[in-house]
Amino acid sequence: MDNSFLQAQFDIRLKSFHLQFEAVINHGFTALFGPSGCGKTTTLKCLSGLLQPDSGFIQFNSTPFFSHENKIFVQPEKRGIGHVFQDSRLFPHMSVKQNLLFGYGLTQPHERHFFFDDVIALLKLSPLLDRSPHSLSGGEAQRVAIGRALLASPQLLLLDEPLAAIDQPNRINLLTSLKQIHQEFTLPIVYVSHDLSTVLNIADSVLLMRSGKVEASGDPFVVLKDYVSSDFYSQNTLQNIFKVKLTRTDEKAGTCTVAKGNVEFTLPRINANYGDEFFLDIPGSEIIIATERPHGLSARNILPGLITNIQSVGGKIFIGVDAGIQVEVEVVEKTVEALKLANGKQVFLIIKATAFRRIN
Amino acid sequence: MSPTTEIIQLSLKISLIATLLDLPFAIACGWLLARKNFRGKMLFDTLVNLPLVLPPVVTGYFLLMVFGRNGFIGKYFYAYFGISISFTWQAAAIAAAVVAFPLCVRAIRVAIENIDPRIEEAARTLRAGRWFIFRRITLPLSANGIIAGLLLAFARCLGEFGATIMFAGNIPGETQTMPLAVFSLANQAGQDTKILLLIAIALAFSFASLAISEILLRRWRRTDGQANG
Repeated sequence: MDNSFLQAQFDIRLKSFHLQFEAVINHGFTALFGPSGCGKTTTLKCLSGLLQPDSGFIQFNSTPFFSHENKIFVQPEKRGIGHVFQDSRLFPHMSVKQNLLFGYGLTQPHERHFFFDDVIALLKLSPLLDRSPHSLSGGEAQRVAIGRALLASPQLLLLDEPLAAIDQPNRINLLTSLKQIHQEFTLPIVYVSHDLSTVLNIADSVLLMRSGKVEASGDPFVVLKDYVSSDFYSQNTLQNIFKVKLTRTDEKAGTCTVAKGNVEFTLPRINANYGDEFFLDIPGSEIIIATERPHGLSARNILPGLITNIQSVGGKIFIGVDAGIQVEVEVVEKTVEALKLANGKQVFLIIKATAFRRIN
Repeated sequence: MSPTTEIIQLSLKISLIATLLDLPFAIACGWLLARKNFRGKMLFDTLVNLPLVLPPVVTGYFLLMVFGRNGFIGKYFYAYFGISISFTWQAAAIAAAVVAFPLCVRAIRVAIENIDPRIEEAARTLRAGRWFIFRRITLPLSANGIIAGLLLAFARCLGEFGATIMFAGNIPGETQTMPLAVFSLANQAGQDTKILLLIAIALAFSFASLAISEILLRRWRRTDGQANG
């Protein structure tokens, strides 16, 4: 089945900047990733209709939103595309509740698929309803802005770095809500970010942009791995980022146990409560690979798994291992030969307790 | 010479109607100048502001050329409807409206310029068309500026003299507003008390409108500061 619903190929020149966008966007959670100034925001504005490209087309399902050739330009208010900006852009003369209902009131009753009570509950907005936008914190304002966009019942939600101005704990909460919105309402989302961990955690696919062009697209792990070697991303070694839940704390040993699905890791005690969820990163270069289950080892975490792929990227070798979770291990070329590593081979991953980094 | 109360009533009526006449055009021009870029914007801006610097007597003379019984437009009015606009209280209102117009436009333009256009942009992605946004976002957010502009225009209308005397004359009970009455009385002997009374009343009205206008502008700047902070 063809999963694509948005096809776009357009050009736009703005002062000294030239954007040449070409991509197919699928249902799902798509991340637009790239350094600042690469054209991510301009792309979103073209999709929502706030900017008109100079040439090309934008096709949404079977509806043309823009076609230079056929002189079609659908106004933003007719597109049904929600757009949440980096700054929340709430209407200052209206209460939070009035803000939320602004687009709702303009949506035809038969087109509504988001309703007030659901959105309020999902984004935990009920204590804010009577407040004025001036009095909200950055995170609160952004939640209201997301709720406001949802209540206009969009067919697609564009998010332009909505978490940029938000502090860490709130960021993770909001990120979780976004994922929930996407899953519960099967709402396609295009999410602009320059934060690698966000993209890897949340996106089904990624469009990698650079200097006004889409350089690559597809599975986030594959796309971003290919860019490990490129100069911009060279400082980011490939990361294994997992969202884990704290399941046990051993005060005596000074360790704690976290779980990701059926896989458990032991690491030094961290400041979190039972049931808390957070992101962990295990640098691929700090994982040791063995072909037999090791004995007499101080490392706390030994995971059996099967090799799923071996890739050479910019002089580095990455071994993908399915150990209940997908883990990427960085090795040197000699290791592959010496251990006769190949797809499907059973291996053991050895991870020191201190190799884990909590992502804040 | 009509009684003082009649002069005041006439002045207030003419100024009020002149201000209301300005309102829709001033909002339109203020919005156009604040939000749109078009060819000839500078020329348009200059034309709108011209009555601010032109001697009012000259403005009145232009009005006579256009709306007078033999003017470009006035002669058709007279030919088809048998109406002559000049030298009526309506002419006094038009003269006051034209002279006060730039003041009104300026206040409204600044108020609209101070609204973050990105807020209006956000509204468009919430299914709101331009006209809806204008009514529900732009107008309410510039309301204080609009009211301040109207009060400023009203104060200017009360004081209007030059254009009125050219275009509407100085007809007691018809076009003789406070400034014109003061002018007439000053040419007569022994009218000092009446002059002083009129001056005091004119002063009170002008002072009140200006003060309210200033208070509104300040309050609006303050709330605006919060909105951006």
